[in-house]
Amino acid sequence: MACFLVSATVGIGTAVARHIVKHHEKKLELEGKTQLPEKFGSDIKWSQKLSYLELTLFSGSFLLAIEHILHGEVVPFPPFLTAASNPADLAEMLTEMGTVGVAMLAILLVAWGVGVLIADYFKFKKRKKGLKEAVVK
Amino acid sequence: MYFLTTLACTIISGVLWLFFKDRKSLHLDILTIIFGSSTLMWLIDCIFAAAKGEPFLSFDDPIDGWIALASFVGAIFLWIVISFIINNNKRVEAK
Repeated sequence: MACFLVSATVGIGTAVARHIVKHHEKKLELEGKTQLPEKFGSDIKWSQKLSYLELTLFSGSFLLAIEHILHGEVVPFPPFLTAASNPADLAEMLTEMGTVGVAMLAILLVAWGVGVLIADYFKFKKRKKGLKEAVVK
Repeated sequence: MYFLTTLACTIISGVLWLFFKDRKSLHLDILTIIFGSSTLMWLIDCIFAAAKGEPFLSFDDPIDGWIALASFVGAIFLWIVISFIINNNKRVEAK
């Protein structure tokens, strides 16, 4: 009914967080406090990682919104959600948001986390290999 | 039905991404993420439908085909818009 709204709301929060993190990273860069990546996970900037989470959440919500529009569950006039006009449907909608919506959000977060870990691993491995080769030379 | 459509699109765009890995301006990673995230969301939807006793995959509703087509067009549209914005920003930064 409105399960995509959970991911879309978290997507807005992620967008705000990304802007704050990016601002902080730029500030450190201008102050010359940026360090070369040493630890695992420091090869990719956090603003970049959050931008992928933002894309994941918003794009999934966008396609699900299309589905809901075609099913007639989302309308272009207030209250925008057909279920919101009827108290019985509203309760069902909130239950669905709490179960299906939260499960959707959880699977997207897990997928993003796994993706970030894999990307970090490959970047870390590549850097280590480069360092080893430089030492040998 | 739209779950299967987006799943197929995720696999195809993922293979294309690996194949054209060096052509970064295509942003096929973004297309894969768009299709992949919606596939995961519809997978959850299908699992909850199956838990309620409904069929996991349904092909009865005639509107499902239109939803699959609209999802595909919507994803391509989103990919083009995001790729254009990223490429344009890079061009501006380079100047």
